[in-house]
Amino acid sequence: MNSISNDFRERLIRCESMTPAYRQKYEKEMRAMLEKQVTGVRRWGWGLSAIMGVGFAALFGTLAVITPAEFPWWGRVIFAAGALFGVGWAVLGIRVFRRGSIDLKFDTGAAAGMSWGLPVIVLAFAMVWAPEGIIGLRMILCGLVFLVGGAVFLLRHVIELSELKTREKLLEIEYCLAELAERIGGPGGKDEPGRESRH
Amino acid sequence: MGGSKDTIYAQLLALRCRQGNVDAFEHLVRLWEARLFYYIRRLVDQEADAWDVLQKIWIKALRGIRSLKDPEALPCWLYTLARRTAIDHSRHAPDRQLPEDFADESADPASADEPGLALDNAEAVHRALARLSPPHREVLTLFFLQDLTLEEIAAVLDVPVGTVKSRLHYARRAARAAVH
Repeated sequence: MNSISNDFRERLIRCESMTPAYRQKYEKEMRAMLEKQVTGVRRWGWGLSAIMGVGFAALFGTLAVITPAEFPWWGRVIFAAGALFGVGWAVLGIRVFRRGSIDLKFDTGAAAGMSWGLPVIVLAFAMVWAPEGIIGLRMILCGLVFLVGGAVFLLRHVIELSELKTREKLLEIEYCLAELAERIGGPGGKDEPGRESRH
Repeated sequence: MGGSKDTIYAQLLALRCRQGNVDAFEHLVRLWEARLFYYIRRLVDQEADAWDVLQKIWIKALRGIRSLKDPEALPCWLYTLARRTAIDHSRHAPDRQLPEDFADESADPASADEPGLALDNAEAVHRALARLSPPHREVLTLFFLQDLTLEEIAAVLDVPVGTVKSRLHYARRAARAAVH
């Protein structure tokens, strides 16, 4: 197998004839694959969520501004967070409604982030800053369930992500070395493709 | 560790896909679609079916790449996915044939690296592949696409390494005969 080069594989692959119409259909379907189509009721659902987002943004934004001076500052922060949340959902809703599709690259991550982010922020603020009088045992327990659950989920995610990032960095270094080796024509370069030597 | 630049790049993409990076997935598709299509075309008779199978492979890959713990296993994983998808596809089209396991070629051949086939002539090899029996064609295609070791080819085909060597031996002989 050592006698076969990458070039041979490329030449072999080029021998395969392809019908342009099939190829175009495939390309189109691949593009569609990375976007989840939303039609009918679901699309209007996103439109409705955009309207609700605008409504909440206006309501909480107004409350954050017009509440009396004696209203606690952490309450204003929660209202402001609610307004931001509303703006976020409004933007996302309008985006999905206009496109008629959910972009898996951005939309799902943004929706998940907002859905997780706001409750955790609001709950954390309420638990830390709320006056003694309204902190009941039930509220603490409910809050703890959410916070501990969220923390465990987040921790696992962070650990997995750091592991993947470390491996990614190692591979990037390895890739740079392979590139360097290829430039100087040494081991791992074009003259000696690593994969081929395995056969 | 180790390997060619392309191999490392593919591993990097696999790792990024696991992190949910859709751009990396698009790059992975671009990097692998030609060779997967070539492989599928050796398994599926109709070109239109091959494109369908290729698309199904990417759908499965998109859903399943998070379960790919070792990025080095990417080539083996993709070819296995391709083979299974082609088999599933052919099950719904009973008039089409797929490679079957051989029982009569388990004898260990002298070597899988037997010289003789004009490896420098890609067109001749391409034409020769079309004339081989499906199991020979499949094993030789995987061999020429050179993404896999013999052990990995055995894993993709779900047969022992000895059988892969045996098939390669006979396939190369048949291909050589077809070329000349």
